[in-house]
Amino acid sequence: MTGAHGGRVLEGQVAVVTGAGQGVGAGIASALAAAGAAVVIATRRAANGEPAAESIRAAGHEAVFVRCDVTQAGDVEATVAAAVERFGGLDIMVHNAVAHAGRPGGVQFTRSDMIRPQIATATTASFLCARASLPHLRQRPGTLILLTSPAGVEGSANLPVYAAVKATQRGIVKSLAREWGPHGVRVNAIAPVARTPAMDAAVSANPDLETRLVARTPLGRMGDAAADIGPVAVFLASDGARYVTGQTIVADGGGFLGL
Amino acid sequence: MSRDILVVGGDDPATALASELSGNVLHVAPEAEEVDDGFVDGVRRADGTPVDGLDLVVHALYPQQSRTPARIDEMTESEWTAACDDPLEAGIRLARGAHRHLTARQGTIVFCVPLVGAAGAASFVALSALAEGLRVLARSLARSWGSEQIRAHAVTLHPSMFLAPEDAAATAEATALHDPALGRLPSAAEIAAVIDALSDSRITAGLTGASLVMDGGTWMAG
Repeated sequence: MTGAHGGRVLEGQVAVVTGAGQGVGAGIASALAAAGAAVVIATRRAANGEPAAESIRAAGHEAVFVRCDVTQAGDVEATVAAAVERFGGLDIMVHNAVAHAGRPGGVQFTRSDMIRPQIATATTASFLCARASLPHLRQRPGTLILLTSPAGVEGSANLPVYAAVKATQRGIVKSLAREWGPHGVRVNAIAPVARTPAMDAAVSANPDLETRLVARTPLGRMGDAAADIGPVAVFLASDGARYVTGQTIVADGGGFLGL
Repeated sequence: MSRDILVVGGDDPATALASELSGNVLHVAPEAEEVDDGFVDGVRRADGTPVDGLDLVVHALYPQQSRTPARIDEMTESEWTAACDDPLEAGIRLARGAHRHLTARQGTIVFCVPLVGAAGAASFVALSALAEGLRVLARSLARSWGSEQIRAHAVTLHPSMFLAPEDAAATAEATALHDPALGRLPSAAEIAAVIDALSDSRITAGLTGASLVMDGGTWMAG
């Protein structure tokens, strides 16, 4: 995304994006990089993190891969430190990583061992990302963006734990916006619906899902991670959103209109 | 036949509501980490008999760590876990364990959540996260259990029902533009009456997944 006069609106800024090896995270990372930010691709697996970084570099932008398990405080702190050391600071912290939600079904059918990992990856990791990034975001001042979900607003019959942990991130955004506003640090959330490998898997398991999703979407299509969701992150990180904090931007083609 | 009601949580609002709800009220105040999938099965009536079917489950389990102000950069990971992650998991596991008991009575589950989740509050990020997680859990339960005629709601309450008076006052001062439209906050008896109504199928059989804000008309948050 470029500015109204063709300038790269995030030129000189530094971003960390967790879970950026594929899907929405990769789309956001590439959009931030195209807007001028140097990007740290923070993922657990080099197998997708390194190619994501290479793809951005091949397009002529700056990106590095750093291995990061977002549920581990040491990993998150080391990732932020690597961004600061490599690029000289941190302006944009994006927490997008998400745990596997398991087989769809009511909460009583959710596998017991799949509850805590979802809490850890969404909720605990949001805390860890916020705490690790604040000292650097205060200096710029920068912005924190959490990736939530429409399910975190309207609930989900079949992914109730996922919906709950995504809702916690909206609570974090609202209260952190109040807590960090005096520092000039903005905090917002994006609730996207986009075609991702995870969505492809869900559609594969339930072929009617895409038809139903598109049918309830006024814009009549699934979002694209880079072209549709990435620019929302660029906007929230840019000076154009300097008076926007504590908000959840639902980027789902208009499917959910209940806010 | 009198209704069987389970109220889960120590301190207010759980304690205040337990004394005001109408029916056979079982009030338990476990630690968050004590609530596992079999927790409801393990609850005993005063005469020692196990619970076998519930008309209403009221969740208001908020550990002291959730109610204690702390800026996020001053919190340890274990403090965060105790304030948010553990009680969130407890809420999820309470719902899992309550399901068969609610099925038996076509009952209702109500989550009481503090308004800091909807309105935000500095120094209460963990409580805010927990509140929003539970509020949306209620919606998810409403969606997935509706076909079994189990209903689920969230009732959002003024911070004064959860926080120390000075913290509640500071939070309201920092976040609310308006005084309560009714000139006062609702009493525990008035809140209990609404929860009783939410679980009374003669009155609210067509209502599920609601988020009712009972703050006297202070925030009027959705």
